[in-house]
Amino acid sequence: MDEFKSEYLISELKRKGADDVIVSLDKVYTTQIKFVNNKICNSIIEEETRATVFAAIEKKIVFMSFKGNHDLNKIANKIAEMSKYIQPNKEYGGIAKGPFKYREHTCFDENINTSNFADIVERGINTALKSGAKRASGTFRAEVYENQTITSNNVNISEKGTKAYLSLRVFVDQYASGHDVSVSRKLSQINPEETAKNAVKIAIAAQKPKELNCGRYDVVFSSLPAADILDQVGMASSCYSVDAGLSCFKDKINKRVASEKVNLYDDGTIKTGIDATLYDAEGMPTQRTPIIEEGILKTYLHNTSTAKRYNTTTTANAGLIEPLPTTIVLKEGNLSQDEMIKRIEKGLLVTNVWYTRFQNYNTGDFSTIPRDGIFYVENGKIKYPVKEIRIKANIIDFLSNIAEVGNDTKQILSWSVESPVFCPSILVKNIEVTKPDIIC
Amino acid sequence: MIDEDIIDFVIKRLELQGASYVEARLEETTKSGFILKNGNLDGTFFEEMSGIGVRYLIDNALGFIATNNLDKTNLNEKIKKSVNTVKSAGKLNEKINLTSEKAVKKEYSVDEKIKLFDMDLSEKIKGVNEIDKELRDPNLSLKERYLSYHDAKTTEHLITNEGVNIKATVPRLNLFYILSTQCGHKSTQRMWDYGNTGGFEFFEKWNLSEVLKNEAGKLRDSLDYGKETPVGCMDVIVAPEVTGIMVHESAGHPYEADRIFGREAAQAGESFINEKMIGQEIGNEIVNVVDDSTIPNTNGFFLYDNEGVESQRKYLIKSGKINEFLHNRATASEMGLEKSNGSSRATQYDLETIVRMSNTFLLPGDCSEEELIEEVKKGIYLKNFMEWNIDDKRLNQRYVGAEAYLIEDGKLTSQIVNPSIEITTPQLWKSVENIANNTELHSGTCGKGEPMQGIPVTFGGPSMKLKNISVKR
Repeated sequence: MDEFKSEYLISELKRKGADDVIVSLDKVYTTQIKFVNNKICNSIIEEETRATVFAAIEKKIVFMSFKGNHDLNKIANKIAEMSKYIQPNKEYGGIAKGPFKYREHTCFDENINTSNFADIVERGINTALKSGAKRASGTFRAEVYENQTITSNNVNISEKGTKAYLSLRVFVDQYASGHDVSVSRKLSQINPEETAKNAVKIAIAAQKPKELNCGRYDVVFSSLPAADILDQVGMASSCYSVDAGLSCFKDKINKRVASEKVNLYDDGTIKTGIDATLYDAEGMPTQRTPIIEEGILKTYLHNTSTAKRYNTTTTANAGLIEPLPTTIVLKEGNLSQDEMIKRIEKGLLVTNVWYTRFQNYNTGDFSTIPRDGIFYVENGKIKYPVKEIRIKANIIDFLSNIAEVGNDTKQILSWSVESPVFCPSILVKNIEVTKPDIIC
Repeated sequence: MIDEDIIDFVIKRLELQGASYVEARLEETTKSGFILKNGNLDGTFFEEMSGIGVRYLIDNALGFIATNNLDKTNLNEKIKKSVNTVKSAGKLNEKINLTSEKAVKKEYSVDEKIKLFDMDLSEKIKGVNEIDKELRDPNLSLKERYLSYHDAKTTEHLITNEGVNIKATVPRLNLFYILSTQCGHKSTQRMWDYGNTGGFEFFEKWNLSEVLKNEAGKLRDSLDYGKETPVGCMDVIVAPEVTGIMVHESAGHPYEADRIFGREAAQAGESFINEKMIGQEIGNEIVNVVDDSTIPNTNGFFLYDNEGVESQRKYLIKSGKINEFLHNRATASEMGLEKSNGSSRATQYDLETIVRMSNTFLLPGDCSEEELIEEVKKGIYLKNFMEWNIDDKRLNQRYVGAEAYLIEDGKLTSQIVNPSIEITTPQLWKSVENIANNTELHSGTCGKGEPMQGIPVTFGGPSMKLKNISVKR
């Protein structure tokens, strides 16, 4: 990345009339091992070096993305040429003005370059099999990344880091399954044995599931499914989602959107957070932003431009067009998952969900499908596993019905949770459960 | 284009390391696009991407390398690292065998009557602005409008050490939209996608100014006049868009052989269907579902897949019976078949090629949609949908109508609000009593794999009549 002349490109674009320029250079090196039915089915090495340029010329916004060895004069000319033919972004309000002070932050694990990843996978599979699984499948991924961001507003900052992720789903018979993930900045904190044991424990308990009647139930969602829903809440809190009709939080600032037990943050500063960064896409130092405090919506997530339009300050969530959550965090409560289950008279424990889809993002109406172990709870005790149900809900009702927040916080990243979420188990009252009718 | 010498270099280096099979995909892609949100041009983008993805087998174990740094020293280093990673797994590696296939040498491209990248960006923006202008009509009560245009031109060069040498150039364009309607305290929403392979001429063919204005009007009408959905058992007519999503989710995905073998267990899930179920009845005998990647200019078009296997029509369901699965060379071999049926695709060079759908649709019947509706005394008609999902075995699914109507005595009468169908896959396909002849293919992006690969597909078919199924609110 050293040879890429970002400052020259910025000066050329400024000379051609750009008001704001951001040049971001990324280098990512990923190793991924995919395993299926106790065997490794593909070992992947991927690297990419990429430059992304953002230019605002009289409020006309142009992005260019390319491999880092282009003729920079051609790039500058192309961006200036493109800007001639487009209309201004009337909502554009500039980028962050540096220089900034950044906190100390180390999230680089040297071991990630030298480790035998197959060994991690093997430990996960072997533990799963010893614990009672018939089949273990999943993915281990390790990533080393570098970024340098230079802007026309006195920002010149870089960082590098490492990420590690293990997803492990096990089956003890054809359909009885359990799933768990392990997510960290450091390889030593990936625990394949614990991940496998957690998944197998769910799968064993999920055998011989019974039918469940449709109706309303109090439901404990463990971290994995809770994160799936909170990931949607995080996206809905982006100012861009609000403007685009993709959020149920429109016109709800300082209004109640959740129970008083809910304190939800976006926190780009968490050291162990797999997507925590020193700075956002404008170079603004990241922060911990309260989104919901004691059930009241406090802010949308902003970049400099959207904040200006909403007469507030950026929350350091740029995304240059679209502010995005960095890491969603649900503040934990005092109860263990077992204690929450004890408070259920008639309800469910849900250990995973998938295929969450919205009927209307503006109202927050959605449904999602529990997968892996689902358990019927009666009078505070898990009675038996159940199968093939669907949860039909509304985001604001869901948040408002959170009766308890657990103390078992876990960082979740999964196939369907693409932005990390730190959350414990939650107890949500009065959840509607549906399923296909037997036959007409 | 990237120097083909690079491919020779990679193949030879991997063969020296002991690879029995090497497959290299060189790709160069140019992309552009923009977003018009509530009439405001949020930003425009232009992207150039090039790189190489190499899949290989050593001792029947699979490795994959992807990089956009084509310096030979770097490639050599990555090859060594990759081979070490594969070898370090030893006996933990799955033994993969590939079917024997004809080594095709071919070059093809999709024609563009109006070349996507010879046009000024301003012309594309103007086209989308014109759609948006129609939608600004206050009578439509649209609260938010989101229009996202993307196009791309990809040249992919596939070379294997078995003699395959295929170069394909495919331009494509798509427009994704979200319309949000608000009348008083009531709101509704609709999102959909139009996409083709080809040039900008398809943008005109989509006729979206009229289509979206009409859709927005129907959304408003559903809020103004929509009646409560009747619940209970009744006949349901689903229009081609709804047929399409049903086909994709419950007759496409469960027939992906890699899913049947569990390769997506921790990602997109498995399948309730297994290889022993070939020939088993899954629906009414009038149900025939195909996946056909040969249809020119469709979103799922290709002539050769990413393993060099010729594109073809696959009959997934034939006369109501499970007939065939979607295969790549590994799954076909594992299932004891002699040949793959050409269903291996990757979204771009840096992602592994896996089993994918292309254009998946229900084959038509003889009657018109009007005749289907005339057959229904009391029921509902689903023109399109918004929410849908299906479990990860592809058995339990739900579809919620966006524009929907009551059918009374063979005629569409009132609009109704948010009718939903929640049904199992066998129930769905066994309930098909009649099929119309109004086939439509709709474009979309299908998600699978890890990292997630969104691949362009179409799904569709004609309207179909589902006899006596449960309708919910």
